Amino acid sequence: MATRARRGKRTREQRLDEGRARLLAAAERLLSSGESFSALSIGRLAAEAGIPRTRFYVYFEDKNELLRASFERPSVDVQQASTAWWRLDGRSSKDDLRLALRGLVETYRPHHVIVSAVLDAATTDATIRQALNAMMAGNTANLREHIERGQREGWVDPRLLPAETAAWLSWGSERGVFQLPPDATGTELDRIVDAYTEFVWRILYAPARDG
Amino acid sequence: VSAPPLLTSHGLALLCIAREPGVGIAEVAVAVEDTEPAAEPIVDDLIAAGYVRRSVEGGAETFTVSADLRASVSAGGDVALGALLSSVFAAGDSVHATRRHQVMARLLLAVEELFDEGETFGELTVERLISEAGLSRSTFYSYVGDKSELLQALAADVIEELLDSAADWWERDAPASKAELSDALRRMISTYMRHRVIIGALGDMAASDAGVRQQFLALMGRSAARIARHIANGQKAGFVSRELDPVATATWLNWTTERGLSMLVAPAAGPERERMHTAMTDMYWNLLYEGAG
Repeated sequence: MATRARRGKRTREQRLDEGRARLLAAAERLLSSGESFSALSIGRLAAEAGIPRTRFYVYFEDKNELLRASFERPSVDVQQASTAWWRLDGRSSKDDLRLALRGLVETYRPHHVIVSAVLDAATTDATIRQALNAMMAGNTANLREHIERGQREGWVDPRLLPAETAAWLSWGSERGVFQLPPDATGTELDRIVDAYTEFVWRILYAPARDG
Repeated sequence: VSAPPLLTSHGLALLCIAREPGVGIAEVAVAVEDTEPAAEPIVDDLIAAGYVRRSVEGGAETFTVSADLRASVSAGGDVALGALLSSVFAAGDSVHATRRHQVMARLLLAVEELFDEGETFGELTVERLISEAGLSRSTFYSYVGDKSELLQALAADVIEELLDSAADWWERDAPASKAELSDALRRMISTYMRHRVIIGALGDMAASDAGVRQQFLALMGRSAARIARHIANGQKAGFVSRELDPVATATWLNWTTERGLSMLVAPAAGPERERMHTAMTDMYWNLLYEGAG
């Protein structure tokens, strides 16, 4: 009986996951086709996902909860892509940095519509703002550790305030990356990544390397 | 030495009434750049001299000019008031522009005062705004279509002021020292803080209002263009590293500055704001000038 109950519960959770996934995919499709998140109605989302309107609330409390769920994946992916940067040290070259930052930029790109919707919704919804700030706080903390390690080991400018510089660079890359033209390719993308690399290299590492 | 005023308060009040027959005391106060209680005796003088007529419309006083009356322009002679006024208006339509400027300045002050009292731009009603600014509805709507348009108009001036606050640094040659750069950025931060309600509202409303978004991006573009010019000039003169791509670097620096001011500097208090300012200075310095030349 215990086994049966467990199996029954698992099936219900699977069904919930499936419904959520359908709605998330529907939201992403609608946003990709140019609809703004603020103008999207529950009815429109449900119709696109092929579920009755009232079923929406079985899966999500409201539209903002759906958006927060959509944002989990980009947050995790960005965090993972960023580790390639945090791991750099005194032996790393400017090309290593370029490679790491390119990975970061390319990680954002598939999530562009969701991230844009999150940035917009964060101006009016406190829970979305919290989710965004939590991601930024995580990135800032990691970058701060990286700066402090570099200062101890002598490959980051020792004059920099670690926490504040990390905060400036994190928020700067947030908007910088998000504002990238989503369809930037080839040389245009190279140019953006090159400028980003030069930006970070000169601020953090160059003064310690040259002097 | 500032230019001598060509018109007295009486002259300004008269022009205001002549341009818009039926205006109220609030509009006259805007024109003479003073409070309503201060504007009242001025209008009383004009009425006593016969230049202006008072009437009451729906419980409110309005004023019009007696155009056929002869006005004394000097000790020696007088001239038909209507002829005098029309020659003044013919001399330039700038009166309207000046007046618009005055109305906007009042509205900006009202928005910023209400923000200090805890009201955000998003929550403000037009009613609340015009009562704080001491303007009539008709005056408000003769210059501004709605709140979104008001924000765009106010933001254009505010952002210009923000860019100008650091102009003597980036319009000029290299900063002589990091201390000079630090001072320029401090001025930028204090201008930002003074107008943070407008700049913050611009960023927030850009998310949902297409007109504001366009304006926001245009202003960001103007700002990035200034930074790019500074980088290019600095490279020619040899005080900025030649390795930087002026336009692409300016784009990164511009967005970093915008985000940092709104997310880091504005919410920070006292010593923390100082530290953000220090980190900002080091960031600009390392990126642009360190090791160049």
